Amino acid sequence: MDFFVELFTNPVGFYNQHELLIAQIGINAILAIAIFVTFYSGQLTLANAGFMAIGAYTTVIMSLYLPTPLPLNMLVGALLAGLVSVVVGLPVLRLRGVFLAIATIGFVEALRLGVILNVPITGEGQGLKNPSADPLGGIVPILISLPILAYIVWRLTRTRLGQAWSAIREDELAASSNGINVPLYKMIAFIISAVLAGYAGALETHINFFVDPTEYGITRTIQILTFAVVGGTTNVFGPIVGAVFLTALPEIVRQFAAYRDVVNGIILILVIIFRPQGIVGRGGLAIIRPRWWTRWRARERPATAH
Amino acid sequence: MSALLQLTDVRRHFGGVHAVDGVSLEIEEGTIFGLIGPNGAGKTTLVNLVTGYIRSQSGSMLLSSPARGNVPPPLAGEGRGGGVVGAIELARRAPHTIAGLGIGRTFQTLRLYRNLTAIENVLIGMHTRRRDDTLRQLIPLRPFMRLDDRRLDEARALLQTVGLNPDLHGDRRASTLSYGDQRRLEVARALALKPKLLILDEPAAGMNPAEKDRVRELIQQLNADGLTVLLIDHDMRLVMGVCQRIVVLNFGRKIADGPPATVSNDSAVVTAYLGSHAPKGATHVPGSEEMDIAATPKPAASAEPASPLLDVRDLEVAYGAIKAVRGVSFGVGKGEIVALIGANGAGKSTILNTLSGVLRPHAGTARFGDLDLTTAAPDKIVRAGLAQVPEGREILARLTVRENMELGAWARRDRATAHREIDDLMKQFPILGQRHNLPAGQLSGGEQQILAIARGLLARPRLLLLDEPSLGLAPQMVDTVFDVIQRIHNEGVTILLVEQNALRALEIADRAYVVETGRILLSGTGATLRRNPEVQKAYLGG
Repeated sequence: MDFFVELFTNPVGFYNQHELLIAQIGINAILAIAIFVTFYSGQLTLANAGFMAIGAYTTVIMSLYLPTPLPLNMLVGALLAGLVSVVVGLPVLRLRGVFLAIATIGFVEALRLGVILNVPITGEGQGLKNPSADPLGGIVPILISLPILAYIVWRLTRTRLGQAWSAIREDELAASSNGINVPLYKMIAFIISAVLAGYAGALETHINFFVDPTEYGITRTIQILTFAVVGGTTNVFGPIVGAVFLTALPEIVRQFAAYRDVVNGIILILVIIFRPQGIVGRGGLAIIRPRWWTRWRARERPATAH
Repeated sequence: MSALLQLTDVRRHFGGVHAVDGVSLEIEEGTIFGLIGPNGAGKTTLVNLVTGYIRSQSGSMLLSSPARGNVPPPLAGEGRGGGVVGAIELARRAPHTIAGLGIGRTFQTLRLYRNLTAIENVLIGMHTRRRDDTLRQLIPLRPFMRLDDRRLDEARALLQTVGLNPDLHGDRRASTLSYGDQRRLEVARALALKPKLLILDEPAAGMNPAEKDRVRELIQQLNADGLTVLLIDHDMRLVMGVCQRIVVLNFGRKIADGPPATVSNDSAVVTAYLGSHAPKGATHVPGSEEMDIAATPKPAASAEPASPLLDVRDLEVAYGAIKAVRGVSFGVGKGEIVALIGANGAGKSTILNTLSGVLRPHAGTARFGDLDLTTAAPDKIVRAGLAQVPEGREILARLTVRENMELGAWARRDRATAHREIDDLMKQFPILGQRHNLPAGQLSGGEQQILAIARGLLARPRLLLLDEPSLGLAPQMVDTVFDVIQRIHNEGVTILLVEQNALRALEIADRAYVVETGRILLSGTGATLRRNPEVQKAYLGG
C-alpha cells in the first residue's frame, strides 16, 4: 500500500527511490511490444530472449573493443538481432503453433549454450562487465523509447501490413486467397519483433553493469510470454499493461517477494481460467466475470420467470 | 469470345486416389460456368489446383492476360504461355500470386476471419489493391486519411451488393452472423479483390429457396457487370438457371460438358449425380410434382402431443445484446419427426444448440423427460438420450472414420455392443465401411454428413437433433441422407430436424414449425404446411 501512497503523494521521491524498477518496467514493456508483434500475426515464437542476448552482447562487446558511440552500438545490436532473425526465420517460420514455439526455444538455448558459453569474446560462462554502464543515465533512453515504440506498433496494426497480420492470425488459407503473401508478412513480423527485443537487450545492459548469460534462457522467454498472456494480445497495450503489472507486483506486495515466481504462476493460472483474453480484452479493461458466475446467476433465476 | 481460363489435362492424385484425373475445360470470358458432380467428384480439388492451394502433378492451367500490370516473371524452365499469347501458367504459382492475378474465390467450408468484423473482413479483401501505407498511418492527420474513408465506403457498398446491411451487420464479428450471412460476407470479401474470375464454391449451401433466388440474382448481376463466374453448387435449379455452360465431374473425370439442357438430359449425368429427385429441365422446380402427395399418409396428428418427449416453453436465447430466440414454445412427441423450417438467421440452430446444452437460455424452460435441459451439462444430456448432429457436420478431421464413430459411443458403458453397432453401421453405409481407416477429413462433404449422423446414432439417442443434414450435398446424396433419416425413424428414434430444404423436410415430417426472427410463425402437420401458400412462396420456391 505504501507503494501507491508514495506514488501519488510524492511522485518525485517515488521516482528517485524506484528508478531501477521503473527502468526495468520500461525494458519489459518494450519486450512485451516485441512479443505482441509476433502474436498479432498469429505466431507463437519464443525466440525473444535470444534476440535480447544478441542485442546485449553486441553493444557491450562494441563498447569494450571499439571507439564507436554508445547509441550506434545499441543500434548495431538491434539490427544484428534482426539480421539473425532472417536466418533463423527462414527455416523455422514454416512451422505453426506449438512446433514453432519449440523450435524457437531451441534457438534460444542453442545460442546460449552453443555460442555464448563457448566463444571467448563473450566471456564464456563468466559474462561481461559493461564499461559504459550508467544506471541513472540509462533510464532516459528507455523512457523516451517506450512511448515512441508503443505508438509506432499501435499505428502499424492499422496499416495494410497490420491488417495482413490480422488476416494471417485468423486464417492463413483465407489470407492467401485475398492475395496476402503469408510467408513474407510472417517474416516481417518476426524481424520487427527481433529488432525490438535486441534493442531492449541493448538498453538493459546499461542499467546493469553486467551481461550474464543466465539472463537469456528459457526463464526469460517464459517471463516475456507471461506479459502477453496476462495482458492480452488484442492490442499493443495489453502486453504493456501485463509487463508493467507483473514487473511492479513484487514491489507492491513486498511481504510475498520471496514467493515471486509462485505469485506470478498463480496470476497466470487465474488469468487463463477466468479471463483468457487477458487483462486488456477487446473492449478495453473489462470487469472480470468468470463463466461459473454467469451460469450460477442463470440458475438462480426462477426457470419459469419471463 | 476468348477463353479466360483454359485447363488442359490437369491431374492430381492423393496416394492411390485420383482426385482430378485428366480434366480439360475452357471458361469463356464473361460467362457463368457451372461445375457440378457428386460429393467427392473432385470439384473442390480442381478449384484448389486452379487457385494454387494444391500443386497439380501434370497438365497446364492458363489464365489469359491478367487484370493488372503485375505479370509475374516466368518460372524457371517454363516457356511463356504455351502458345496462347499473353497467357499465364497458373501451375506452381503460390495462392497469393494467383489471387493477385485476379482470381477471387470463396471456400466450401467457410473461411472468414471469424473474430474480425464484417467490414474488416472486406477491407482485408482489398489487400492487393491497397498500396503500402505504413508511413502515412504513422501520421494520422485528417488529410492523409481520406483514402481510408474511401475504402470504408467501398467496403460498405460491397456488403450492400451481396445483400448485407452495413449498418446492421458491418460492425458485428463475422462469427456472430448467421450461416447464410457468413456465406454472403465471403462473397463480398472475394469481390473486394476486384477479380476477373470469381470462383464460388457452394455459395447457396444452407440457404432456403427464397435466399437461393437472391444468390442467383447476385451472380447474374455480377456477371452483367462483366465478371466471369465459376460456380459450384448442388442446387440444380440455381446451376441450370444461371450457367451458360456446365461441366460434370465424376471420380475426377469429366463426364459431360455443354449447355445446361444437354447436360441435364445426359444419361450418365442422371445416373451418377442427379438421382430421382432431379429436375428434368432447367426451369423445373425440384420435386414439385409431389407437392400434394404424401408418400405415406400420416395420421392426422393433433397440434401438440399430449405428453411430449421434449417440451419447450417460452424459450429465449441471446448472444450478448442480440436476441436470437424470442419466446419459442413447442413439443416433440415420442416417435414423431418434427421439423423446424425458416430463413437463415431465424434462430433454428440456436434452438437446437440450446436443447443440447451448448448454449444457455436467457429465460424459459426446456424439459426432456425429467431432465431440465436449461441447466444440465451437455454430456449429461447426451447420456439421457438426446444427441445432436451439428450443422456443418463437425467431424474430427484428423481422426479416422472409425475413431469418429467410437467417439459417438463415448458416453456408453456397453463397449462390446457399441463396437458391434459400429460394424453394423459400416455395413449399412458402405461409404463409411470402405473408408473406415481414412482420416475423416479426407471424406467428401456428403460422406462426412453420413458419418456425423452415424456418430449421433451411436449415442443411442431417444431423440436425435439433426441440424441441416442436407447441407452441401449432391441431389443423389440428399436422397440417401433422407432415406437414412426415414430408416432410423422407423427403428423408433424420435427426430427433431432443422432443414433449409423445406420441401424434403415437410415430406417426412409429422409436424413442423415455421420459425421467423426468433419466433414461431406457423405450425401444423407437414402436409398442411406444404399446401400453405405463404410457406410455398417463402420456403419452397413456389
